[in-house]
Amino acid sequence: MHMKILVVDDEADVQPLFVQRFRKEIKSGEFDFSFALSGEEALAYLEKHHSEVILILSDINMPGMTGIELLSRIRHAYEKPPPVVMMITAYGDDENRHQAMENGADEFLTKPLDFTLLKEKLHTFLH
Amino acid sequence: MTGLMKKLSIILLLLITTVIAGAQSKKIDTLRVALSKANAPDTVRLNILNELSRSYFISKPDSCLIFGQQCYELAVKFKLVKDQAHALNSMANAYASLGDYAKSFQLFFKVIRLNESINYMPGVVTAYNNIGSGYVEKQDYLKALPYLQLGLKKWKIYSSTHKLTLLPQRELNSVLLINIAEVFLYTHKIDSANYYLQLCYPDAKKNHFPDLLDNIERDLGEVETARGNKGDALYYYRDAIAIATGIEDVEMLSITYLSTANLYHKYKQQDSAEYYAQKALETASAERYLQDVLNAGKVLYTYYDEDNNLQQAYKYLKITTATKESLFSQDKVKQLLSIDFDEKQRQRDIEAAEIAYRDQVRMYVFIAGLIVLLLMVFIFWRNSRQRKRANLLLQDQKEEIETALEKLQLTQKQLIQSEKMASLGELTAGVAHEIQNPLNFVNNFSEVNIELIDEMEVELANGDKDEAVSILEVVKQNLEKIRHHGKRADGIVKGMLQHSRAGSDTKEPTDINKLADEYLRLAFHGLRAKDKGFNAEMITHFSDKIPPVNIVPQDIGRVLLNLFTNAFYAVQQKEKITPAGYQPLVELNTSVSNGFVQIRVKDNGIGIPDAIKEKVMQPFFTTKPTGEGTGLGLSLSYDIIVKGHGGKIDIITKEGEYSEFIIEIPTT
Repeated sequence: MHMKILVVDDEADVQPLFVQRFRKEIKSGEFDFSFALSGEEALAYLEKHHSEVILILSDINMPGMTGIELLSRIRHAYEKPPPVVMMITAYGDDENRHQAMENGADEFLTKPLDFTLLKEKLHTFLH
Repeated sequence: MTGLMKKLSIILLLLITTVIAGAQSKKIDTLRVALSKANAPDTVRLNILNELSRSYFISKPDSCLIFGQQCYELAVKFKLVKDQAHALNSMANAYASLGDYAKSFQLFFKVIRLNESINYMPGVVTAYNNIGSGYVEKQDYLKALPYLQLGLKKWKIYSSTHKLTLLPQRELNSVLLINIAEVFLYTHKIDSANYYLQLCYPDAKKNHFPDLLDNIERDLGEVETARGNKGDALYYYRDAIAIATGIEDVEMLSITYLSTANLYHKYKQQDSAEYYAQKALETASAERYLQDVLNAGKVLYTYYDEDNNLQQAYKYLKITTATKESLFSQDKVKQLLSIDFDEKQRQRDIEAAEIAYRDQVRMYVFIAGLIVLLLMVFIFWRNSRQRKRANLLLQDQKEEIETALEKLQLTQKQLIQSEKMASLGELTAGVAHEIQNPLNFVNNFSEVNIELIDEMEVELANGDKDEAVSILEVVKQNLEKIRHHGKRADGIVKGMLQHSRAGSDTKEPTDINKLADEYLRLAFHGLRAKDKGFNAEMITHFSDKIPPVNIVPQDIGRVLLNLFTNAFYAVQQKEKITPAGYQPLVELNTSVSNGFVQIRVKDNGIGIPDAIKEKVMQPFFTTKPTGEGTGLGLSLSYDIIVKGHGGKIDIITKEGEYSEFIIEIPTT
């Protein structure tokens, strides 16, 4: 099962972190990660790899296009198949959570990320 | 030769009428009849008594004293000072006639005091003259002269300003001159005597003062006698005798007879001398002129003694001695001395009074001076006190102002601090976000590393050394990341601490780009923390030519934070009022030129109205709702840039469209 997951975060070190956290899954070929450092970059990637990406994991607080905006764009641009979009919000950020909900987010994760929980959720959504 | 002046004194008493000696007896009779009718003690009786007293002292001094006393008492009763003086004057003359000079002088001094009290100068001068006459009669010439000269001086002053109508007053000047002349005559200053006589002789002749003229001519005879001009002397004597006889001037007659006798005696014409001397004695005895009796008696005793006519000589010695006793009793001398003493006392009193007056005047002047001085002292004191008060007030005000300034400075510091804390509050959320990520990385990479090390142990146990080394490489990389993010968090915390720290800070070479970027992010996240839905596009253009600039990083950081916050606030506000299609944008540009680093912060927000553009740098000016801004941000920014770093801060803005803050800081 080949699942492409796009991770959007302005922090560059998010990439090696995910790679290491999911090293077994990546090794086993269960997950395939792609990364974008901004909403704009994420949209550009989606232009090319729309069909591949089945799950998008995005931070909300980013300079330029925010996670919410990205979510909104995705919901408007890609109806079929609708990708699963999981939003990462800061701790106690209820307003962002609410906005993300309204804009059609599938799931919310709170920083700091609990990778065990994330794995469970990914499995839930992908199986 | 003495006692010529008595008559002059008498004449001076005739103040009301010009009755002369020859008419005396008739007048006295008339007056006595009048007195018997005037029984009531009134002024009519007083005047009659006065006249009687005046008329009697020549022939009957005792009667004069009686009438004088009655007159005086009436005058006292009616409080008629001038009449009192008149009465006393008559009595004084009567005492003098009786040879009681002590009583005489005492009364004359009283006369002077009374007349002085009513300022009646003829009375005063007359009394002075009469005292002088008395001393002359006592042959005390040294004492006589001052009284006479004083009288003359006073009279000259008085007569120059008063018209003299009464005879005694018209004669007074001549009387004084005659008396002074006689003082010189008896002190053998013949020329002086002649000088004074010549002063009054023409006047007496011209004005027909026979009562003076006989006296003057007799004196002129004495002058000529002294000069050895027998013929001239006899001429004057004869003239004087004729006049004196004509006016029944008994005393002058006696005196002139004696003078004639002496002249003949001088020229050894003994019979003629004795004849005239006896005539002198007889004439004087008839009217009880004791002094003249004495003088004549002495002369006759001398003449007969010289002739060895002892019987005649003895006779006249007896007469002389008896007269002398009457005239110079021990008592009377004593009284005279006492009177003299009294007069001296009076003079001393007057002097004392004058001194007292002068002292008083001096005292007044002194007191006045003292008052002026006190006044000045008071004024100075008041001025000084006012000045002191003013100084105290100023001092107080100064202290108040200083205190106020201190408070103000303290408050300013506190405000600056609270502004820092306020901006720190804005920062906190941003900082929290900023610090969250590195901490997450630290935690995550640590956890991963633990897992990796576990795996590595497994690989090593399995003997797969290559795999273990591969894992080790990753672990190492992760540790680098842990360290990197740890430092990152550390930097953020330090920056926050620096930002909030109070007090002066030192300048240090700083990377402007890095500082600006850091604060831009902090500001953005700070605003985002408050307004989760807020977002803005941030465009940064950093010049890579900017050298490290010597600045106080946290100060400039605060300025930048303030500018960014404002910029985000401006776009946020605009977003609220703009329906759709508005894209918030904040631009940060750095550049360097002409030795200045330029930092431009531009936003496409609401802009600043021209009306308040000038005010935005003023302390406490804010457009934000109460509680949202201190109004010190830009004011402090201005201080930091302009005063702290010698730079400048400019605003380019258009209301509703954009604002651009341009900061320029010198690179050196």
